[in-house]
Amino acid sequence: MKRQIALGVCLLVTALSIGSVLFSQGFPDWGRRKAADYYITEGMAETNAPSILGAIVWDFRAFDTLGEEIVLFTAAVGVFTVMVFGISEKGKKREKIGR
Amino acid sequence: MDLITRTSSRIVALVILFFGIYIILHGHLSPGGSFPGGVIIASALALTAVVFGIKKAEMFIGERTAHIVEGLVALALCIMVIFEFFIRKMLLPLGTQFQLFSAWEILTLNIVGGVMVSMALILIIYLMIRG
Repeated sequence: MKRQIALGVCLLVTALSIGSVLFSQGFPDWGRRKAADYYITEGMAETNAPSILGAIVWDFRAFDTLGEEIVLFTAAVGVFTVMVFGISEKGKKREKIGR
Repeated sequence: MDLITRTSSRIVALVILFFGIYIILHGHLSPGGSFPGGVIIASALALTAVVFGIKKAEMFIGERTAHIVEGLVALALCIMVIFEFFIRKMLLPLGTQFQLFSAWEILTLNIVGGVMVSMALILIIYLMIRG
């Protein structure tokens, strides 16, 4: 039952994201013209950062960057979970971590 | 490791470490930023751990310290990004352009993100080496 619910949620999210891209009116034009032009022309004056990359990544698109950082955090937590709470090849637990 | 690797990596690791710090601090002036800088710092620690053993690398940053710092910094990053609109309008000054300590919002976010990336990668490297 749990697996069916999880599968249903995954399919729903996939369908919604594909549909929202397919049926949205004027989305590519807005991204290509308005947003890109605004970043290039006004970005340096607004954030005072000469590198447009830093301005976009940490100012205009900060939530996307937060998502990227969360992905890295989740990767570290996942590796920690597999390595520490899993049982090693010889069947014994890992020794205690120091410092 | 043999003598040549130990002698050269004793110099090169420090250079890599300071290069990573430079990349992070100049994130708003030149290409780079928190992700490449954090990866470079983590690679310096990885070189130390591979050449001199993991005990020597843990004298700089231990595994438990990396855990605690990573969690705290991730929390701080979430709070800073969510309240970024208020932070950038009210708290942090813009400064003059083309100087190192200007655009304080992007500078602080770069430093916080770089610390988080380097801690996460150091943690993964330690766990992979320990097995």
